[in-house]
Amino acid sequence: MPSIYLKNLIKKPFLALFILLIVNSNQVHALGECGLACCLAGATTSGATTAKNFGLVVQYEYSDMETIRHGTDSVSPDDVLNTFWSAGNMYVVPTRMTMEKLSFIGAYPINERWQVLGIVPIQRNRMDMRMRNPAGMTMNMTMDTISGLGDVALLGQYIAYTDAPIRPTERLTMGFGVKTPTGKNNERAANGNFVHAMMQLGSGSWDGLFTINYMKANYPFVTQINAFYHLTTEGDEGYEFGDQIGLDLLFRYQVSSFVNLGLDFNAIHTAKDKDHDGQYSRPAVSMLDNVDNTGLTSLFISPGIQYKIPDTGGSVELKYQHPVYQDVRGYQQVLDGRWLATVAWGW
Amino acid sequence: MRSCLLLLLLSVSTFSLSASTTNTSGLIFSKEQKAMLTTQLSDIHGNDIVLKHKPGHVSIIHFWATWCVPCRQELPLLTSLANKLKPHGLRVVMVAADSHQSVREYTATHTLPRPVLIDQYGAAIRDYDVRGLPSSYVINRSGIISYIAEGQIDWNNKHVTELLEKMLSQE
Repeated sequence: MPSIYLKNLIKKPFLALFILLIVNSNQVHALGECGLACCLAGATTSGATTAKNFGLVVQYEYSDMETIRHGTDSVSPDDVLNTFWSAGNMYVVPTRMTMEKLSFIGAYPINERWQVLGIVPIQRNRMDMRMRNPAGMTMNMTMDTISGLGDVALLGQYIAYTDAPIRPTERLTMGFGVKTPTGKNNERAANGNFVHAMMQLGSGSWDGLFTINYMKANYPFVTQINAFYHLTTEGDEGYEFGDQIGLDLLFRYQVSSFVNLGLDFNAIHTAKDKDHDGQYSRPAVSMLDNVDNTGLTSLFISPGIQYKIPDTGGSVELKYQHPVYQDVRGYQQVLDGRWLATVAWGW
Repeated sequence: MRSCLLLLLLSVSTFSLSASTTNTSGLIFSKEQKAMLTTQLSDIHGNDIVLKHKPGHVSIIHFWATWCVPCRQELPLLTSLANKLKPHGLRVVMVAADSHQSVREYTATHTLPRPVLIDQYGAAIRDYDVRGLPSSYVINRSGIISYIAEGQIDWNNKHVTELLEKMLSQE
C-alpha cells in the first residue's frame, strides 16, 4: 500500500519537494571559492534538510587546483619563480593542490519554521611545490599530506515566509550560525614553521555565518537566489582569513518524477587575509605565505544531476563546478574544477 | 522444504488475518489512540483558525493539496460522504498543504467539505506526523484519533461508511 500510495502521489511533478535554500559560507580557505558552501548546498538541495525528524547528508568533494593567476591572467609556476626569485635566496611556488573532503551534515527540525544544521568535515589536503634554491637550482617536491577533522559549523535556519509547506512556489529563508575552531591550525612543516594557512585544516577562529535564500518555483522550473556572508575573526595563532560574500543563482528542472537537472552560477568575493602575529608569513621565500596573495573574486558555473530514490527519503547527486572568471590579488593558485557527490537521507 | 512452505503459508495466513482485523478498506485502526491535537492554522483568506476537537462530533481531518492527483481524485467521494453524514454529526476538516492562492482558486470552482484550512508552515503536518498526501485522521466523539488512512481511499466504500456510522451512533 505505501508503495502504490507514493507512486500515485508523484504523478504530478514533485520537483525538489522542499528545495528551500542553499546556505553558503566558507570554511576551507585553502580553496577560497567554496568550502562549507558546497556541502551545505548538497544538503539543502537533497531534501535531507526538509526531513521531518532527521536528515543526514554525506558528501564527498574532490577539488583540484593547478592554475596560478595574477589578476585574471594565467601564469606558470616558473613565471612566478622568475619574477620573485633572486640569486642567493630561496623561493617556493605551489604547482598543484588537491583537497578531498568528506562532510557529514545532520539536519534537525526544531519546529515547522526553525531547523538546526551541524556540519562535520573530514579533510585531506595534498600539495606539490616547486622550489628554486639560492643557487638557482629548481626542484619539485611534495608536502606531507595533512588530514583530519576540519572546522565544525552549526547553523540555525528560519523560514521567514513560505506559501506552502510542501512544494512551495515561493519561499524566503534566513540563517545564521557559527563556524567553530575544531580543525587544527597549527600543523608544522619539518623545519618547524607553520604549514601555509591555506593548507591547515582549520582557521582557529570563531566565525559568524549569515545567509538569505529566496526561492521561486514555477514547476517543473525552480529558481533560487542565495546570498551569504562569512564574518571572519582572528584565529588563535593570529591569522585572520578575509571576510567572504557570495551570491548564487540556481536553476532546477525536473526531467522526470525522480530526476532533476540543475545549473548553478556561484559568485564569491573574498577579502584579503591578515596575519596579525606574522607566524604564517614568509613573503620573501613563498608565494603562499604572503597575505598580499590573498583575496579574490570568482564566478563558477555548476551543472548537476540529482536522482531521487523512489519510495524513500533518499537521493544521490553529482555536480561539477567549473570556474568561468577568477580575479585574484597578487599571485594565487586557483580552483580548476571540483566534483561533488552527495548521498542524502531523510527520516 | 515442506516445513518451510508450511511456515510461509502460516505466516501469510496470519498476516492476512491480522490485516483484515485492522484495515477497514483503507482506514487503519490507530493503536496509539492519541488525543486530537490543537493546531493553529488559517482559513483561505488568511484568518487564524484553531483546529481542535469539537466535543460530541466525529471528525475527519483530511490532509490534501491541489497539485496532488490522488487527492483531487478522492475529493468528490469525500464531499459526498461529508454531505451524507453531516446531519449525523460528522465533521470533515480539509487541511491543505498548499498555498492560500491555490486553494482559493480551487475552491472557487470545486465543491469541497467545509471548513477548508491552510497549513502554510506545516504545523499540522508535523503534529499529525503526516507522511504523504492524501492522509486522513478519523477522530471519535471523545477526541481520540481512532483511524488513519494514508493515501487515497474509497470514501463510498460500504465498510468505511458503516464504520463511520457506527462511530457516530456511539455515545
